[in-house]
Amino acid sequence: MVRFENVGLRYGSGPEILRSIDFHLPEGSFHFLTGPSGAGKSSLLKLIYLALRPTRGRIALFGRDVQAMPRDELTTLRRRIGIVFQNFRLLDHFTAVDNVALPLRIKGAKRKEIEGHVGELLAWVGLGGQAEAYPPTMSDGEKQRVAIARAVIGRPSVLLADEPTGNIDPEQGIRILHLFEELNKLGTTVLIATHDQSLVSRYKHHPVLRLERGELKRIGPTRTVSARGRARAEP
Amino acid sequence: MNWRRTAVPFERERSERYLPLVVGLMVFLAALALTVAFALDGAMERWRVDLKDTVTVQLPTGGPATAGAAAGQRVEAALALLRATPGIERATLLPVGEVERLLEPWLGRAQLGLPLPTVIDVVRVAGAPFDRADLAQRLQAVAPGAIVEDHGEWLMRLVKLAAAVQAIAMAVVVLVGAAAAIIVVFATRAGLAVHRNTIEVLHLIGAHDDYIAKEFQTHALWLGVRGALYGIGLAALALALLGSGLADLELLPWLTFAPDLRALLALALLPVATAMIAMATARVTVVRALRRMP
Repeated sequence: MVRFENVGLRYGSGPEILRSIDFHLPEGSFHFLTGPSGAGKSSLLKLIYLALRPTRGRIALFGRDVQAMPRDELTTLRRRIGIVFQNFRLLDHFTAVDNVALPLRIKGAKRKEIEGHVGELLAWVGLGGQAEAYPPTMSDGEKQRVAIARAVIGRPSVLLADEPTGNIDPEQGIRILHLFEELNKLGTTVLIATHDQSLVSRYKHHPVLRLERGELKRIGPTRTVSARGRARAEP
Repeated sequence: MNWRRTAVPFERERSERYLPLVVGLMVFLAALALTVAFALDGAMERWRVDLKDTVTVQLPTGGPATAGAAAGQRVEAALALLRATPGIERATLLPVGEVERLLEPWLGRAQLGLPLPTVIDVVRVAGAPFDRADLAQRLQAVAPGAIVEDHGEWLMRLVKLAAAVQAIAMAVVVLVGAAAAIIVVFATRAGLAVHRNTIEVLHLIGAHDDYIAKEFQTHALWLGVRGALYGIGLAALALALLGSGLADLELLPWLTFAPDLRALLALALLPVATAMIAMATARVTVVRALRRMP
């Protein structure tokens, strides 16, 4: 699903902030990406969601080498990746429902289809009554749930979340992790970047990728939860 | 769900508030230049038709030949020679009242007591060969002091001058269009900078360049339409005032700012062209900027 081989990344002529990264996220897996602040977690996520191109190495998404792909085709891959950004990145002039509907509007989905899905999804994240609220009037927990709904409305194959519990209280964090697990059970490959070790410990049944000073130091438990909820060995 | 709201929040952008006014000013200048070009076109056409095959013979006053019966004989002799000359279709003595009417705008009514020359209006056979010098020499023999003015000569100079002014007017239209496009480029770049975060989000959640470009180009289209309507409205007002002022003065009877069908069509197309330029420029600017994204 997601494969990195000897990937390196540097910004401009600066030092390499990611060095010789090798890993594979199998389909239907659930991983945590941990490490201290500044370790390169967000940069690694950006490489996966194609906001950055690596300076060396090879990245393959859904079995396709992204370096060799024409720019226009990258959009097709991006549509298969749901992203929950660290600071939500919702459009403040859009209501919750409009924010969630945006990926479908971009895809050119029909109005009736969009309205049905969006209402359903907002109810699923517990924001059925907040559909017409604007992000500036919402709490961080509510914004996070809108961001999650927006990330999954297009039924992505891979869901990436950058510090999804960073700005919210522990109770909200657990609720959001529960949503991610539910999505994973439906077959979505999930990668959550967090520096919150207590969160990782709480969900220790999921494997962990640990980044330290730009290097992938450790790959955690070797069991993943498959699409059917069955434990399997990671290749 | 609000389906009309664009993903890029243009309504929050204050930097481009004055863009329609600037575009309006450009359209106003272009409309004036276009009108001048068409007015000159019409005038040149009229000159060609009215003056191409005409010659004026002047018999100045002063001297013994211009007094009393001698004056009448001089005029009759000149008319007879002209009418007998091959290639001349008609030679008509211009009444004194008509000469006064022609000179009145330039000299004023008070000055019309001055001695006026006798003027003979000569119409040549279209396309027939004409030797002005030979005619002038033969006229000197029967009507000393006669001056032959071939309109064709100065008409050519006038037409060349008018054509040059017309070319300048059209160049002004093109330059104004280019200036409008440059303004749109800078406004669009400012918009791209202001909305960078939104554009990045759209890009990352799967928007094609075309989707983002459409938002900008549609916005630019409406700004262009607004600006063009301001400009064309202002130009219509200015031309109406100018036209009525010229009509009152009767100074340049050959130059009219009442637009003909071609001019009206060109003026009607000006807002459309402006809006299209704004839209196309915005699209190209956005697409080029987006191509720099991964």
